[in-house]
Amino acid sequence: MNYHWDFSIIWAARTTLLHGLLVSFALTGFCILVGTILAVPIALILARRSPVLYGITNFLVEIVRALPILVLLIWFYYVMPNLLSVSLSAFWTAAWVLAINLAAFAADILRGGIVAIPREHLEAAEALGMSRVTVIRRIIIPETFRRSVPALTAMYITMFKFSTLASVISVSELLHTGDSIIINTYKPLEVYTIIALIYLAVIVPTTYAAKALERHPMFSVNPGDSE
Amino acid sequence: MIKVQNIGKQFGGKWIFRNLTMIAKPKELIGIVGPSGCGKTTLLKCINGLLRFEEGMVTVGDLRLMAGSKNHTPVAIRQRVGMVFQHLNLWPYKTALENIIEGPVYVRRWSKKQAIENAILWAERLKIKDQLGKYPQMLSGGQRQRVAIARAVLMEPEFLLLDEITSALDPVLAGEIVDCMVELKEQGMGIVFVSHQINFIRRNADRVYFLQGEQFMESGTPKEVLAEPKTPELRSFIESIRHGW
Repeated sequence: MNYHWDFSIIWAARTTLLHGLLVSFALTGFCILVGTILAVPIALILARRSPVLYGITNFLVEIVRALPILVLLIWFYYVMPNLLSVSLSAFWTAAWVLAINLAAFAADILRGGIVAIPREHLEAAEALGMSRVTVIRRIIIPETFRRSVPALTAMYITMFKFSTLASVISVSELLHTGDSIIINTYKPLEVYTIIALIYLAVIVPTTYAAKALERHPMFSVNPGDSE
Repeated sequence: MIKVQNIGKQFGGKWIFRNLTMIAKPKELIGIVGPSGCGKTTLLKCINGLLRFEEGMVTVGDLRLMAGSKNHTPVAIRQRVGMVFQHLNLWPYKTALENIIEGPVYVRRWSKKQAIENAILWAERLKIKDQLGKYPQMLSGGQRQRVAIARAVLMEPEFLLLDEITSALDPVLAGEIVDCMVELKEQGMGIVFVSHQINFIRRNADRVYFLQGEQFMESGTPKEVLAEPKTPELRSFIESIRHGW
């Protein structure tokens, strides 16, 4: 191939790319924070299996899990305003869709963590006279998160990758920013290569950091075993 | 006072015990003996409200636990009746100190400083002060047992239910724990003690209940029950303990 590579355009567009990266971080950060907070009560309901609440919650979770994120994004951005007269900006639509999607999957991870808590750990708390709410706050939630750290961190990293889907509704995250640079420079190969490298530069160290985190006493179920 | 009145518990349609009646008063040490699987642990869990029961009633002072009650809210009872489990049930991701102060801080609402000060006093008494920063998996069986005891007694319950707590300890350590229990009893705590250690019960219990075949077959002072067993079941149980099965 006689393609003439010219990476100088990347340097010229560095501020735009940085802005796109920050938007991707913002989308992912919101989605992780809100999605995880939403996932906790959902997981508690799914683990408790009280008939009515479980039925409704499980049904909603299954719908979200069944729909591709792309479809959800398009539906929330283009269809929902017509149906419900509620419209959000492209950024907030993407942020909420990603958060809802994460909540549905993270809830299942957390439900598994709750179910895996040995009965004895709950009995010990109950025997001390802890109320149901205190048992949830002091024992179930912390232990569930410790049990779910590996699966959750993998999910969070995946959400960072899924944030690229927001480009279909014109959110100026990293990939969409790259597209606008390409329109002005006609240099798609350089731009997409740099975008790929930026994703690698973020995701690879994060993956290693997440693995190190899993072994840290703060995030382990049996911290004494690793010493 | 703990009053157990005609309590009955079944699992999967099979009665574990029925019509059990017993009383435990403050400053009293009650021993419950019986062969493995006769329902001793289940009985303690019913008293503490950890297990529901099908018949009878448990009262602790003015608090009541009724059989089959849908409004099963034994939290208040549990705050007055502590329990140490046979398998200890320590939280593996909390240090010994964190295990011990969890109840006082989040149930009794003590300040963390106050809880830690009291935990250290108990840890000194139970000889685990140097182990407070360690996780349960890093401790020996005996040290874990003492952490579990400290966790229960720091809550300052009126009664303590102890399920085979000296079973994993060597005789010297078991003796020290037993001395501690006797001291607690003298300070006014009522203790219900499930154990196979007939000698300890003979020396320290005020009353003994022998549980077998769904009921208390014998009860009375240790002298009445253990020195002069009336039923062949108790005789054979005492024999089997002596022969160390």
